[in-house]
Amino acid sequence: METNKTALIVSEKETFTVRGLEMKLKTIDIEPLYSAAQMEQLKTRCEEADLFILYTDDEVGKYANILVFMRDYCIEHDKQIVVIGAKEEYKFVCGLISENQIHKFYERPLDMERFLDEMSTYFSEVSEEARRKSILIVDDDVSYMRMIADWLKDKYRVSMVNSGLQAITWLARNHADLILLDYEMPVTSGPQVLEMLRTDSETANTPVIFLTGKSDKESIMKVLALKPSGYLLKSIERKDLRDNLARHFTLEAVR
Amino acid sequence: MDIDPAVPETLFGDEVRIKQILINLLNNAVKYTQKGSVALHMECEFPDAENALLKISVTDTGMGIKSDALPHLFDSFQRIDEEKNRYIEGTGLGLSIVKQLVELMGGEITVNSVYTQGSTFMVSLRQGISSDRRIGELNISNAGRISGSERFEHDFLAPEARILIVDDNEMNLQVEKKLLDGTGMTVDLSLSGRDALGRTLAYRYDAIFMDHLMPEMDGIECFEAIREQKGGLNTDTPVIVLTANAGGENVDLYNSTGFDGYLLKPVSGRALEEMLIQHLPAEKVIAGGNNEMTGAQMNTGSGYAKKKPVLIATSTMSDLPAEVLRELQISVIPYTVTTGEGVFFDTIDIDSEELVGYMGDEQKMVTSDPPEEDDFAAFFSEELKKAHQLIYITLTTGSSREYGRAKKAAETFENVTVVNSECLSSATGILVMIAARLAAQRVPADRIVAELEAVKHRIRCSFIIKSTDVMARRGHISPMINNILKTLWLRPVLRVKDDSMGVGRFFIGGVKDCYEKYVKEVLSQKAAPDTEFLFVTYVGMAEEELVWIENLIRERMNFEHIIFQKASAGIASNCGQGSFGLLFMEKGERSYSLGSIFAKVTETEEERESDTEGEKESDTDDEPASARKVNSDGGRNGSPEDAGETEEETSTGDKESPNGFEWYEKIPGIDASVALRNSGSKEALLSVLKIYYDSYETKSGEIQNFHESGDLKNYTIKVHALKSSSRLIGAVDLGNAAEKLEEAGNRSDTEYIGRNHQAMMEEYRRIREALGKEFEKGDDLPDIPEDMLSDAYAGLSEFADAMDFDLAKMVVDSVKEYRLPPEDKDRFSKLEALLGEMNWDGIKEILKMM
Repeated sequence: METNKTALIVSEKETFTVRGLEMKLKTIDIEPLYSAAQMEQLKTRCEEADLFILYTDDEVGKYANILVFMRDYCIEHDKQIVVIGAKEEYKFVCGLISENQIHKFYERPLDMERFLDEMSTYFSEVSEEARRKSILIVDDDVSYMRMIADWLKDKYRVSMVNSGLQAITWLARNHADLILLDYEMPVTSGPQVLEMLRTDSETANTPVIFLTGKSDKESIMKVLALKPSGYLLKSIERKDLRDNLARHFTLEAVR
Repeated sequence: MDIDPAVPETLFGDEVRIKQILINLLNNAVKYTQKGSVALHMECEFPDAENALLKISVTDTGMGIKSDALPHLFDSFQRIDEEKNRYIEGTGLGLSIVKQLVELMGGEITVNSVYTQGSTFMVSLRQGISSDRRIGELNISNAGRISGSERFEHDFLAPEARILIVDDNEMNLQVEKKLLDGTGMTVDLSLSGRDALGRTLAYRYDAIFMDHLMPEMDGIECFEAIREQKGGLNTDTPVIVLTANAGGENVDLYNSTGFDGYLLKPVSGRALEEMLIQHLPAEKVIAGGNNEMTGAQMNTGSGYAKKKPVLIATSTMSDLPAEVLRELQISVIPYTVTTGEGVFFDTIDIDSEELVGYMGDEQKMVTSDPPEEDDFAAFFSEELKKAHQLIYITLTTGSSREYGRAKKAAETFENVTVVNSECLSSATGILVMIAARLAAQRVPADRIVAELEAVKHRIRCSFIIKSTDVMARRGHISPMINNILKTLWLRPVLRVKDDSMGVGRFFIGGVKDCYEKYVKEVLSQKAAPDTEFLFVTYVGMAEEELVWIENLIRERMNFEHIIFQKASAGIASNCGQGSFGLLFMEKGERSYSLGSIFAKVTETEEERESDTEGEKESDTDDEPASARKVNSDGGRNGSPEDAGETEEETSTGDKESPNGFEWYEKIPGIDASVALRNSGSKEALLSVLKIYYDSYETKSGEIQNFHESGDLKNYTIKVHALKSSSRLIGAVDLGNAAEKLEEAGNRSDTEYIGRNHQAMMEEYRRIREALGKEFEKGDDLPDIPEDMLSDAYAGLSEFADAMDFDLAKMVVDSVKEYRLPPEDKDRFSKLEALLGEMNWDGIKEILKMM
């Protein structure tokens, strides 16, 4: 996919967390670049960056020269820096780089959803509707869930949890535009999860689509009685699922 | 209308009467059929060269006949269902006349009917053959004009096929060869058994025709020699015996010898051809050598499909491998399994693995049921479209209502016989296989049934039950009894004998102990099983357990084929996880050469396997319950689970490594010869070594914990297990040390344990290290940098908090590119497993414990 939005991540080492960040940026169509906190590398890579993401650690004092270079570069080329790290580290950074160059600070542990949202917004000229929707899939069948997630990964931000309990926990910290909820689950069933979601103001308005394995009339009536935003049979094919969800979001947009 | 093109053009019989019969039957059919169709089907069999057995059937989709009306059907002056039929013309005499006519001609008439669905009337008449000419393709629109002018033309070609005919009479050989002239196949001739044996070493024939009575070496001796021939290429080539005598005793003899068929001499071209079409591999037969499609409509030959004489059917509870069912063309009707999640068809929607997983939860009830009477009726109806007669074999009445229901349903059918196997699972499967074998040899249905009734008493059926929880849940035993059994470590053996199911005896002890005792008891000297094959049918057991059981078996007896069969969900719901049964046939007068079925099936499986990928993941839940088979040389074939390691079949056993020594032979403390003997083969040994190596962390941890906490009972159990597994891999000293500690534990000798425990653990650790060198070696991976490892743990912790599967997976996958220190390697295996279940808490637990 053609994308001309790039972000350069600068950190002392390319830890797994940084790699995770790179993976996540891709899901919102931002091309991640990486440079270690090392002058040579940074000099070559910074040309291509639209935005800098500085990922600090407690060793930040050691690479003050890097920070200075970034500051100067950004002033000259009118670029911005996003900082992710601990408060203490941020304070140190602020001592070297003025507020004008700093777009935003995110404290660790990173609230990925919010971060990605805002990154999306930063990069797109269009409003919120254009950014990728996030879908949460709740199903105790992990392999099925992974398959579905795979089908949707390229167009949406997909997250997976395998129980009602995990879903609640996830939603406490993250936001979903749509929830695909397995109807038949052990311990906490789909309907029970739906009920819990509806009692919480944060999630009460999130659309929920049930996934069910039973296609007989009686079961469908039961599913629909709870008035979800819809239901899908688990036997659905890739193309139909994508079409269905696309339709859903289009309708949501005009509501 | 479909007419067998092989029906002779002209038969010698009473034309007028036959016309009457046909008209009557067809009229009836049309009269009583409101909508749908009436079909006329005609085929021919040739019991000898002069006579034809003409089989006519008229099938309609009318209202059918009620089962209680059936016996009176042919009685004069009684028309059934007067009310409904009063608008229909006729006197009702028709059928009784038909019956009388048929019987006067020495024929038979039978009826099958499913009320409201239709009926089939079948008439068989013996007629002399006037003209050898075949009726060929009957073209109704050009009625009277018959194609196929030449004298006896073949309707198939087989230029790729090669067959052998063995007969001491030169003239016979020439005649028989001439009969096959038109087909283009290569025909070799042998004047004696000796000569034939020479040829069977040189070529793999597609079929062999063997004269019975010959001097020096008769047909039976020669047949057996071919089957046993070392280096012979025809150990499972179909062999058809040619005999002048069709008497009953001879037929018995041929069946029990294991011939694939028999033909009467003098052999007719037709009979030869039929036999060949049956036994030649399908791809070598090119049909339609002389069939010219005239292009006109109503070509009666097309759409013709010859019905089998006898079809064998059973339920999914017969636990037979899918390949065997296919090979023997056995039809199967599924039981239903009802769980809290819904109702499933046994083996189609659910198999024992899934059920066991489901049953793990204490609360979940599971029941299994045979099909209903109506289901049986529909099934029989369907199957009878493919065959003239159906034999349906059920489980013992002691375990289900299958027999009663099937029997009731069969009452409306004249051509269905229901046989009670008086056993269950693969034991019933054995009886089914015997039936199929006999059916393939064209033994008539009633004789098959008689044979089955006799031989079923030779089949042994028992299961060792690991835990009686499931039985209690099913109501077979009370909860109180269940508790007692559990407390005392009593495990029952479920035995099916004399058509009833009950507890045979109990074994006391840990699981493996009981397994071992069970195997020993079943395979005792006085049991005298037929060593051609043994079924090990199991519910929810791991690969290593099965390997271990196999070794136990081999230690006691040498079976040609050991078939590991995953039990159907129906059986699983009764026995519970960890149960298995040794099912076999006692040695007797007659052997049915069932071994050759397994040989044939393994062969085709290998062909299929060589097209598929090497390494497969162990998710075999999607597959039908197919079996793993083991041949006496210990090589394992046809298993999807270890396709990666054992794709080659080593007929001579192990391959030697170039320098003459295997790596495991050089490990001090491991006696490779013992190891090989216990495991059976190099491949098995390697997989066992790997398992032993991988499980070190867990097992040594357990032993250590129990030792430190002073839990003598569990310590003893674990040490006992260590003894067994160490011996399995040839770690003799370690095994002995463990044994001594086990014995000390049994007599509560804590002092001895205190003194010797450490030494044993040391030896255990040392062996593991030594194994580690080999298992790490293959990898060629770079060592993981220290900081990367700690970063991995940190990252994983963060991603687990965020419940982000993709990111967590990324970490685990990246780590796999490196070689890890053993402790971390173990840890990551556990983490990976937990990740697969998205068990974030579990992951966090492990990370916290570091």
